[in-house]
Amino acid sequence: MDTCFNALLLDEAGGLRDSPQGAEIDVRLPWYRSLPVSVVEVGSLKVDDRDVAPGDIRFEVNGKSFGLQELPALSGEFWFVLDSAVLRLSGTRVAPGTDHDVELQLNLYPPYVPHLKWVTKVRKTLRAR
Amino acid sequence: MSTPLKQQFKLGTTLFSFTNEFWQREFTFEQLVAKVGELGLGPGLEIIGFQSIRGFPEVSDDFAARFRDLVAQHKLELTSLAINADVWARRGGAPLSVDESVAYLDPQIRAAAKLGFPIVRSQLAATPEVVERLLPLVEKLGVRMGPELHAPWTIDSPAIVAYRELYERLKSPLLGFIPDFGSCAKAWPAPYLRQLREAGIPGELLDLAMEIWNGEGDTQWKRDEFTRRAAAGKFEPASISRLGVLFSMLIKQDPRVWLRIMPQIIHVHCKFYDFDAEGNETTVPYDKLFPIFVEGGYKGYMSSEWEGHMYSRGSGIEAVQKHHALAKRILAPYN
Repeated sequence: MDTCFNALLLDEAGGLRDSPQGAEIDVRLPWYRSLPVSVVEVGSLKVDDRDVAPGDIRFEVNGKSFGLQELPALSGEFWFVLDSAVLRLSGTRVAPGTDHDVELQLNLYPPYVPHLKWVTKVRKTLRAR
Repeated sequence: MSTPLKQQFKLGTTLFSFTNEFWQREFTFEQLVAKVGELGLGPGLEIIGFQSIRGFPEVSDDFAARFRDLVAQHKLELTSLAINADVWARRGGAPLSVDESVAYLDPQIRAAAKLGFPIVRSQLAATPEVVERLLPLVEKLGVRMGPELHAPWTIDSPAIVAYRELYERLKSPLLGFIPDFGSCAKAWPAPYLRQLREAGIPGELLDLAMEIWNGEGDTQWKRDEFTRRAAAGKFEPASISRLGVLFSMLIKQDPRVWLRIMPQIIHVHCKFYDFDAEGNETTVPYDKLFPIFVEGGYKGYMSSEWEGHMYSRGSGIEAVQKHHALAKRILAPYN
């Protein structure tokens, strides 16, 4: 689907960075409004075709860092619709200047719509900074 | 030929229409408000708290003052602040209780009053019991409140009937309804269907969806029936859920049903998607809906609400311009 949500979920202009705490991937919220992070789920993440274990991913927003298993309870922590969140991959380093295939499936459960699971899945080649 | 019927309602825009522009960080909130004024897409202005305002429902005095100035500068008239009943915010946990729902909506209604909105658009996820509990607050603030009547519900669905019974009992002029015209659609948007085909949704699955959507039956049943038959046909769950969304965006319903609750309609969402070469909207029968609201003597505002961001990166600003042109053409005989 040629939508903003698909086109910009991942950011090829600087959306993959190396850091001593692990690779950082910028992610946009693929919905029209801010949502509590409790309804955000990392469905799957692959870097260069290798699955990244959920336990190796931290979700960072509003200057705070959360394990993925903490998210469902965080109904008071809002991800503002214009902000990029960061997925931090504790076990992964990416050398600046190298290209990496990142495939992310992000699931949303909009909290005012019963039974809706909104799936956005995007694969992009990102150059690490 | 002249007609004794006169248009008494006003047009407007919800910034939801400009989701593409805002989300891509192409225009700021303030710039989009200004656009509505500059391009004559008001006078009504509607916004969604959780879309436009960082930190919502907290609204600082400074933000509220700047917003009111901006609205006055562009000669806009505030219509509705869309608020959200996020009752299923705890993933995998219990939905918000009545007490929690009241506590969740209370600051959003206060934010509306602080910003100067006379109406809040609520959602059916807030039950009649929650609404009754909030009545003293809306009375104190002088704000009108109503749920959006959105697909897949018709005005005779149990959730809406329960509201109608509540209103019959409370008889408050502050409580009403906000129809969304996606609930009287005549077709699915062709560009959306094209995108779904290109995204690899099988043709047979699309055919099944269209057959059920166009057929007879309760609108909520149709969504379940599609899910059931699609699963039985061994289609991919991701494809099924992608199409299932459309059953909750658009339903077929006779446009004349609104006459049955017209005195309780406090605001309207003119949901729209796509235009043909003559400038007619292809999914929602505006040629019928606008005259019905003239006939019903509706006196509120109509927010043009483009939902094209679901399948397109196109310009919401241009879409709303086309919708206003269509509205003015259809309404010309009544002016």
